[in-house]
Amino acid sequence: MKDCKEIAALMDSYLRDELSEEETREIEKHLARCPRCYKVVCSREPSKLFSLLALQEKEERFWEGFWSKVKGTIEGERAPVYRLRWSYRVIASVAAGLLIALVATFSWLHFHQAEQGEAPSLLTEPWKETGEVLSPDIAEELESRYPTIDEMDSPDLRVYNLLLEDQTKLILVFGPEIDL
Amino acid sequence: MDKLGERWERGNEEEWKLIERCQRGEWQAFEELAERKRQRIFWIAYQITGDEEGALEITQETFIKLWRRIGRFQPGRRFDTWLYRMVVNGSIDYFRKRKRVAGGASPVEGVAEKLPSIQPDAEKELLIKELQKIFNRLSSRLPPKQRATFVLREIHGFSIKEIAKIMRATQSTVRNNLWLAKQFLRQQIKRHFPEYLTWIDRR
Repeated sequence: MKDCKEIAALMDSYLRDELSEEETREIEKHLARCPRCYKVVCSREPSKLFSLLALQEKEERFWEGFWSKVKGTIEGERAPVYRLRWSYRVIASVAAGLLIALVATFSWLHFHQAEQGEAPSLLTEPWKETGEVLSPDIAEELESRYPTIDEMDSPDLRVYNLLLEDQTKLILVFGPEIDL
Repeated sequence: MDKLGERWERGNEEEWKLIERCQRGEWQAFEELAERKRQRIFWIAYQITGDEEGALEITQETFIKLWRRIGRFQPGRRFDTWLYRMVVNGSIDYFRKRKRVAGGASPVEGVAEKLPSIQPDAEKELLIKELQKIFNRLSSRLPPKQRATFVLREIHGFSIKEIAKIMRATQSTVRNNLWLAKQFLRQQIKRHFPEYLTWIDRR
């Protein structure tokens, strides 16, 4: 704890707010219990007079009815503040559950079809990508119109005319020396 | 950690438990927390606005905001900085609004008016009440941010660093505002309250 002499030595720096937080607090503690030093400070910096205003407290009578307005305003919100926190949790849990169920269903369908040798129905075919709804007859006709491989024989060459799924035409020509 | 930091941490430990209970929706914990802060919030608001009714309203509004926002308060942040920022902002807004309504002149303005007379034998409590009236008169011409900085530093003992956080300003801005406020009040005291030295002797 600093004495009056030490305080006097630090006074200039204190009044210029140049001291550390700790030193400032020590000086202020000293000033609160030493009227002589407090008077010196006030004579040099009159605005320090107002530090006395920190000593005020309003008596209990003043606060009568204070809480009624606060409570009245937030009474209705008391439960919602609490429920809101729960409702966020419930919404997040339900959304996460739905997402997991959706992913699981699609994965199961995909692998189940693959196991049975079927083309996974979740993979779209080129002519069905337009989003048109086709009757089963038209779909069958379209499928037969776009064969994936078309083999043509000639005396010396063999020509493979391929139509890829994205409708790119690819023609492969092999001589007689190549035996596939 | 320095001593100041340790003191802050220790003081906050108990408060943290209360805050966590408030975040779980416990009204009793909220009342306990509010009781601890009520006096200081009121006096900060009063000393910035110079209006008792307004300060009471700001205090109530601060607690309403606190209840609404406490669920969003994150651990690791300083509760006091967050709370007193609401008070200071509320007080500055109130001060500006009142000035606008009054057509640019604050009702407490008019330092030329006679200052409260001080009775030599008055009790300490009464002397402080009179000093508060003097402060209200003299500081009513200060810009709100300078007044708020002065109130936080010189009356309520917040450090420059804490004020910078509360007011979201740099430390040099806070020092500058404080210096301007002190300079203005020094001149006003010497001009309108020359008997201040005698006043101190009566303490």
